[in-house]
Amino acid sequence: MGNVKYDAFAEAIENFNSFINNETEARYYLELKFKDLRKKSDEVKGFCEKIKCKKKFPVPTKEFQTAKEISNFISIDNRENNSLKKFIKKLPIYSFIIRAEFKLKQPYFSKDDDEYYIIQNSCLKDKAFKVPMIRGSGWKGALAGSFKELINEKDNLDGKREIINSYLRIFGAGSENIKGIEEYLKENSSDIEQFKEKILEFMLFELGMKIDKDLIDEIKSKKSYEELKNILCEKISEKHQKDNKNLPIEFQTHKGRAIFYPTYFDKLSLEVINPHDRRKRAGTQPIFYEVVPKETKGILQIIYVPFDAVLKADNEIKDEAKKDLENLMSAIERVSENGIGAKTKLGWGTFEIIDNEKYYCINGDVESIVTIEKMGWKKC
Amino acid sequence: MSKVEELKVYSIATDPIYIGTGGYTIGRVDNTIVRDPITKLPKIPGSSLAGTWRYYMALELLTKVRGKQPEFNEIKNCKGKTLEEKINNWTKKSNSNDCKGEDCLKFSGNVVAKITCAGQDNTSQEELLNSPDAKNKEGKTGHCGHCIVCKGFGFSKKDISWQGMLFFSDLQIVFFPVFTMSGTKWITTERILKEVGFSLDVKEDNKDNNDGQVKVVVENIYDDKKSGYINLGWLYLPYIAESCSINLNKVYVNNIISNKDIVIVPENLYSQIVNSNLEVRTSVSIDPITGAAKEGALFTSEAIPRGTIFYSTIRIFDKSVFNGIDGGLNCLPTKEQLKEALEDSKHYYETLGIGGMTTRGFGRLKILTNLKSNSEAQSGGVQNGKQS
Repeated sequence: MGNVKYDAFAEAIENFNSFINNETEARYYLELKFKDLRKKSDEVKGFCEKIKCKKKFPVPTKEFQTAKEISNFISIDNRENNSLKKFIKKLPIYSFIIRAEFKLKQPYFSKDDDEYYIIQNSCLKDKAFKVPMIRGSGWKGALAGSFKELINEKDNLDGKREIINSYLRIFGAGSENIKGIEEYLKENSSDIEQFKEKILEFMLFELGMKIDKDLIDEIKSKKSYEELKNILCEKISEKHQKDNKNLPIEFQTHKGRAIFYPTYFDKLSLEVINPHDRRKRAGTQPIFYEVVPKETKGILQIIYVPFDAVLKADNEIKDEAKKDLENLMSAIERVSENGIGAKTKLGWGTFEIIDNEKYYCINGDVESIVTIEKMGWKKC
Repeated sequence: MSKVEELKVYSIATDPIYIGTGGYTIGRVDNTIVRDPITKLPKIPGSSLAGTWRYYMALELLTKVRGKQPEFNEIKNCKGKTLEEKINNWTKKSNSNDCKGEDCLKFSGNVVAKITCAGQDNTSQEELLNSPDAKNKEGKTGHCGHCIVCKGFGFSKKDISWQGMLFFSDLQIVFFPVFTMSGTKWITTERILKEVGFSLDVKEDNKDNNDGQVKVVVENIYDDKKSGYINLGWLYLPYIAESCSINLNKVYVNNIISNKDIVIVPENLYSQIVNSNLEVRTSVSIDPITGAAKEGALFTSEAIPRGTIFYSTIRIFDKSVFNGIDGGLNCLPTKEQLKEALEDSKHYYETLGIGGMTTRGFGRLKILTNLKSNSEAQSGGVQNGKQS
């Protein structure tokens, strides 16, 4: 009997057409292949259920609370006597706080530095509390990335300028490129070729701007500093001061105005990615990822302090703060679509901001901004 | 009353704190942090604290006096031989309090305060490109020399220089967080606790019968286990449970940690444990065009982890005896005014922070001690740790 079955199997490989037309042989074949499974139907069922409801590992609540407490999230529980308001009042005029609660649409993953761990890809955790988190630097990087997208989407130059100015105010500037440009303008260096290079590098790598060949040629062919300065001003900012040696403050090396807080999560789970052999179309070796599962909630908090604005007039700061608030919020919405953390091309790290939990609070009289209202942010 | 008053100040790191040594140092990581040269324990230098606090005090002051400061010529036209007298006459004229007033804002010299008061001594405003005084004659002076910031932290001008009245010590680690198998614990040593002024009553006999083994002391971790093993990072150590009631009210952290969270470790292991549990980070710069990591831009840095509790002292030197001596300053801020100014500006540490990389999740610090009401910190007993 047994031999007949194996014969059927061999025959199937030899001549497939005759095999599928012969009922008995096909039955033998199926029995041979799935016999063991059919006997263990209960286990199969259990296995399927297990796959459906993925296990979630809780994070120690005490550590989660302590980490949150230490990181100084400002509570908004008491709506009447708002601590957000109290906090913002202490900061310079036109400072603002953005605070939003969000829910992950897809798992979040970012690799931890801890090498000795039971899972090969451990999720990023705080060093002392071992609570999964998104670092402040993660938020800053992701938002800066989205800002660059916003810059490139604006088709007119004025719109671009506005966002670039806002970008430099929020995130600061201090790279080698900016320093190179400054060096030249301060007459510490007279290498015009290097200056040209730095301008191009700055536009390309810092701002991620789309630059066509014409512009590159235009810059390369310019000989004098004045002409280049004009291109710089035209392309990046029209803020032209009387004294040509002074770049607008946005273009000097400076610290950004926004402070990014970390986000903590209270759940962990396991995901698996199984790369397939290109030829055999079968899984090779599964790779495990420790992730924060979807549906987990977290808090995003950003504080904007225009500390460098003490020298500016009230109206000027007000306008800047308004624009920055607006742009920052569109960048947040953008990050929520693009995702944060690793593997964003799989859709990991995307989130949605919970509608009734998005607030902003600004120090000073600012009439409500239409675009922000439209996005559903509440002022408090 | 003594001429020098010492304030004990406790603070907690609300973010990892990075104060780099700069240049190249041999170590495990590329960017190393400042350490005590003898104990090799990380610390925050007093100069960092003084520098940032000077800036924050000036920022707070300028935010408050914004729009209330008179034109410089208005003061210049007042009666008086020196600028100081002129300022005093102006304040009297405009019904403000004189410098003995309660509110530090009304400290008379503040009417001429400028943002340059925050900077290093003689940096003239000429060098600050965007300063409104960059071009005129006033731009040639750096520190104003009259406001509470200049008098409190010291200043240097062409004709007169003045040592500050505030003295800052290094911030040293008192409690250091380490993740263990029973949750996060804060480690410390007996010597540190004594230095900071906690009376400890660890029983002497426990020290003798430790079989030549290194032991750490903990408050009961598990309900009844008197001894056992605990891991501090990668070190696996035997412990004995002991009641070592430390009055955490004094440090204002009783809402965050309790006695149960404290582990007292032997002196010779402390530095080892602290250094192997620092936050070590590997970072890489991302190329915005390719979206992938940049070549050669990978670096590692270390930082003091979040939740570390620091101790430092601020001394206030009452220089009122020098008042009016020829060549000296008149009208000095009182201790109370200085304390108030410190207290009012300390909240900037919770946002702008200290050290490097402060806009991307580093450097925030919370000063827990209330500097205004806390005249004699030694007596302790202020229990509101939850001030926000």
